[in-house]
Amino acid sequence: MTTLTDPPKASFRLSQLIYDTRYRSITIQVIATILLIVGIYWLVNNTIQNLAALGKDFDFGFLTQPAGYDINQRLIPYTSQSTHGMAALVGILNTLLVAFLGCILATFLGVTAGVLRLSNNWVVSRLMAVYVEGFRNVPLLLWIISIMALMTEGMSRIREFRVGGDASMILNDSVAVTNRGVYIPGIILENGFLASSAMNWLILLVILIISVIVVRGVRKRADAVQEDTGVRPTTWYQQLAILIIPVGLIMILMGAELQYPELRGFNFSDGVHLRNSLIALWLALSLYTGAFIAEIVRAGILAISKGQSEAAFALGLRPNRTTSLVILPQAMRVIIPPLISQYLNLTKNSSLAIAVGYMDVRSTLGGITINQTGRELEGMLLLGAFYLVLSLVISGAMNVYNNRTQLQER
Amino acid sequence: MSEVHGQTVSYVRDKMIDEQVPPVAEAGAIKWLRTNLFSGWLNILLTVISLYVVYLALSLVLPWAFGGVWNAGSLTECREVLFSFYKSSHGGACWAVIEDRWLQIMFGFYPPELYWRPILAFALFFIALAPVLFADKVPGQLIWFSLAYPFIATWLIWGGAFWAPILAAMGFVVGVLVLKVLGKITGPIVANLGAVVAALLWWGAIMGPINDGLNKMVGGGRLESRIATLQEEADRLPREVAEMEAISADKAAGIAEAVAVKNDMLQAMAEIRIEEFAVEAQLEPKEIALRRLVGAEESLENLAAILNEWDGDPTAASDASETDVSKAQVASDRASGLIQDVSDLLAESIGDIENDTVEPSVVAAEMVASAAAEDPSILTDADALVAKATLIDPLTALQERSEGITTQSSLDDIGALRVDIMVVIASLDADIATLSGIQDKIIASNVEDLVEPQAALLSQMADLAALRDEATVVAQDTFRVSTAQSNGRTFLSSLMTLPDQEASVPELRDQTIALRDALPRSQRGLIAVSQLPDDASSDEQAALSGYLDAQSTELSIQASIADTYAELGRVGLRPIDSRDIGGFMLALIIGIAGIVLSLPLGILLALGRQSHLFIVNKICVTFIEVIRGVPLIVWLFTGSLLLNYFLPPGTNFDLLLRVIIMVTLFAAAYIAEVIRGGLAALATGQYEGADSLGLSYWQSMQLIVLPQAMKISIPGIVNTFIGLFKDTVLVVFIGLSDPIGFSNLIRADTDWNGIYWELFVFIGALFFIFCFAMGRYSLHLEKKLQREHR
Repeated sequence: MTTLTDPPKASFRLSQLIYDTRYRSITIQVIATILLIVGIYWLVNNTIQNLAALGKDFDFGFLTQPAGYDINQRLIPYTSQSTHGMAALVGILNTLLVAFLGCILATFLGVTAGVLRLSNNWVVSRLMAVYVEGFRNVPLLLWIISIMALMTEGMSRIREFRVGGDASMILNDSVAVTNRGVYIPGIILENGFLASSAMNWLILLVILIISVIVVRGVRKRADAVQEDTGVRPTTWYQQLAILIIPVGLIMILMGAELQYPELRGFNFSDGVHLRNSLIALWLALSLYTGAFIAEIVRAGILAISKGQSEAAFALGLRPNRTTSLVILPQAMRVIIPPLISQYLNLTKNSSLAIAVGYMDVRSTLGGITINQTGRELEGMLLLGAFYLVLSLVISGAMNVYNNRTQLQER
Repeated sequence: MSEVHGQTVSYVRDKMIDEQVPPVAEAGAIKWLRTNLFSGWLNILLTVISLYVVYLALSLVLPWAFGGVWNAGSLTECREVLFSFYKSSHGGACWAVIEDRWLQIMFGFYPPELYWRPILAFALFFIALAPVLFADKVPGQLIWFSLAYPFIATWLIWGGAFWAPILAAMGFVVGVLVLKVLGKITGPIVANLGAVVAALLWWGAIMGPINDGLNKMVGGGRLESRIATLQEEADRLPREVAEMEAISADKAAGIAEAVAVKNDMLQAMAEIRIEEFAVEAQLEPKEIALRRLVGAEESLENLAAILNEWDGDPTAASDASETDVSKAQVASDRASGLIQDVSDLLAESIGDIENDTVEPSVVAAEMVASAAAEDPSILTDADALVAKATLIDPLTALQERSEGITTQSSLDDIGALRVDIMVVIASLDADIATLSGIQDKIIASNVEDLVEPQAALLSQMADLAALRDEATVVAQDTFRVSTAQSNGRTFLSSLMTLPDQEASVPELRDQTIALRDALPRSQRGLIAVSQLPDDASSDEQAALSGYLDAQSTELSIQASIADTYAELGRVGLRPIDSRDIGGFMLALIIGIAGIVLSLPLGILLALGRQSHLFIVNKICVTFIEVIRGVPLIVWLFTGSLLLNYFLPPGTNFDLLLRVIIMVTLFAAAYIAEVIRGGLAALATGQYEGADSLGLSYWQSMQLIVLPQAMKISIPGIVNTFIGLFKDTVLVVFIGLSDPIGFSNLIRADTDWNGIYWELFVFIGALFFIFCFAMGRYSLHLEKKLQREHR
């Protein structure tokens, strides 16, 4: 005999909102939403009241007004008559410049130090440990101002570079290290295709990118041939030629010429002037982040079990092939995610430019512009939004790359 | 078996041979060196390069660090001492600046007589930390001390009445009580909300009046006696200050005397070294002249290269094509520039020798006195010096010849001129060598004479430093007493007016209410005249501004009464202003407060990010990503520039507190990510096991998940703390004086203007010690936890 109990009646009592797990999550979320809305309303209302009390409004119009201040380092044309928006753009480019240079040098330093720290050579590994611990445990700001002080206090003054002076240029008279910055040779395009030199460089960049894409194609075809026949065609000279010849040809057509810095009067002219602020920020960021990257690289290599290399040796692979075909591809998977976050840190840390007066976006948009226009709310919002977008873009791009390398796991 | 073999084999070994000593190259230090340092050509190269780098760094740093000056009152004095030891101003560190200012770098402007308070707070921090870090080794009850520690530390550092921290802590007690009571009656959601509301109510509405009431109660009884003490002090303190000023004048005189003695010693040493200086004075212009001659010679070489390239004058050699002409013009300009350079340099070098050097006979005459007496060969050397005319005559001739050089000149002419300049260079070089030989000999003969004065100078500097220390102590006392005097005077006057102020409050209150009632209802909430609509009449504006003025007067009178009572009725420690807190202490306060406050917030955020509740999850993700995506320095500027916009009008609070809030939010986002990693690393079975036991969400989190996840995350949390601690130096940009801020302040002092490395090394070492120790601790934890997992 079966007794059928009636299913519980679908009655709804108010207390179910709290005690019944089916409804409780909705209750909690509703409460959270209400609290959030109330909180945001409170903040916005306060802000409106405060702005009104100060007689200010919320307006981004200042971006189109003339800035009225000079920026000593700029990658695009800018004068004091340009707008605040333009000044912000110059600052953004400067931030990106130092972040880009920093990431490259930091990766180089970090990989070198990380690999050498694992070396059997006791002296080298100790030396690298000193480097890593020294830079990791002292604030970045201290390194930035130390390197700045080294540049401004320790280097020769420009007048000592005159004939009969104490100092002389290094590297076959091509680089001058002075207390006002480093002067290095620059490439000029004497008869470019377009009037603006920036556009000419852009053309070169586009050609270089196309070359890189073609090189990838060549490599892919070599892979295909290898899959089919088991023999990999030798393509390194093709790749090299595709990379170098088009760019080189266009540069020669544009009349590229190396221009050495030369002392004229009281200053160096020609060549490229790397300001102390850029050098100090760049070196400090790279050395500091490099120490962190070294630890990441070391951990990545140590994470690969010894069996992997032993198996590779058993297959008869030579040590360098073992490293490049077995160890590194696996280590990269461990290394890439923390490496991305180090790049992000470096980019964010570049805002310490304030310590040396490097004109990055925080100094232009978040510094002088705010002081001149009194628009701290709008300025800080834009500044925060810039860093946020930059972080999201970098981490997004790197995550795509990360996902692609991860997929090869299975 | 052995019998069988016994017939066939004559000898069978039945014992192993003793282990042989390995070859020399395969044992001990040599083997270690061979395998570790010199195992292959790449390794040898690396070893040599790194040893060279180490040598370079040590040879630069060690003499500087260990040859430094510890006793000096300014950078100039440091340089004087270094100079008397034959060191350049970069040859030795001026550690005297650290000796002089280290307390400031550590404590900022905190009153020296109260240093024990932050030190005690810091020591107690370790006791509070013990139950968290070494839970198995200390009694469990100590956790109550850990919970009370934040209130104790705040009270110790900022001072104030002893009941203030107790009242603040009561907020949590009230919250917990409400939670317990409500938890029994209703469900957890209502209980939690109720607890939060009760605690906020306590802090917002109840705590203040209780505090004021206590102040008033204690203060009211003290009013008379306090006025009497203050009046007595007003008589006594000026006398004390005068006495102290007399003492400090004495000390200043003593210091001036010691400085005079020191200057005499320097003078005496300079007199011993006077011949050195005489030779130096000859040497320097000649060296400059030599460099100029070398420059002239190089310029001629470059000129010859240009003329050679263009086969004569560039402008004449060029053909008609346009670019060629312009290039020729450039080359010709350069050639003319070089010719000008040659002539100028020759003229300048003549000037150097002619005007700045004297005849060798004069130099020799100066030597005769003392140095030559010890080392007669100096005089023979002096005879070898060439007469001024021997150098100048050929140079004058060369200069005249160089005037004749043009771009049309033949390469032979230029070559001949070069050769002749080289001849003069050689003779000048020989002369310089002789001079520096003489200088070396004089220095060698002076060394012994200088040993005694150098030692005397060092001891004099030590005495001077001791005198200055005493003077500093007196100056600090004077400052303390005179501050107490002026504070006492202000306080006395506010005590005198206290009854009047209290009497005036009701009247002011009525006045404000009357003015408020006179306003239209819609305008009563406004806080500034500018908020009125544009078409408001001037009467309306006047009415509103009258009301606002009356309101602010009333509030300020009430605040001043409350302040007076707080000072009068305080039973506890002397309050310290946040502005006086600085240096390394500031970094520690911000760092520790940031981590302690951010930990609970970070846990909640991490749980929220793991949550299945859509909205809660999205709120947490947005918060974490926004905070992490923007640099700390931008958040700090937001805290100092913008926080006032987001809070109710009229709110204004301490910059240090704002910094701590921003740092806490910042660290919470990072800690949330670390803990999320810990949560994700837990096996799903743990979550499922907790669910299957029928535990509620919070029970399972509290009892099963979080203890394990936190254990995994501890190294990450420590690393976040190290990062946060280093980042505290960023507060220098919003005007707080952290160690780096103090390094700037010290450099702004004329005594220490131009000092960098000593301060940087000291500050860097402070941070290094703390961060390195924490890093080692986290490594140790990592190892310990790994073993437990196995």
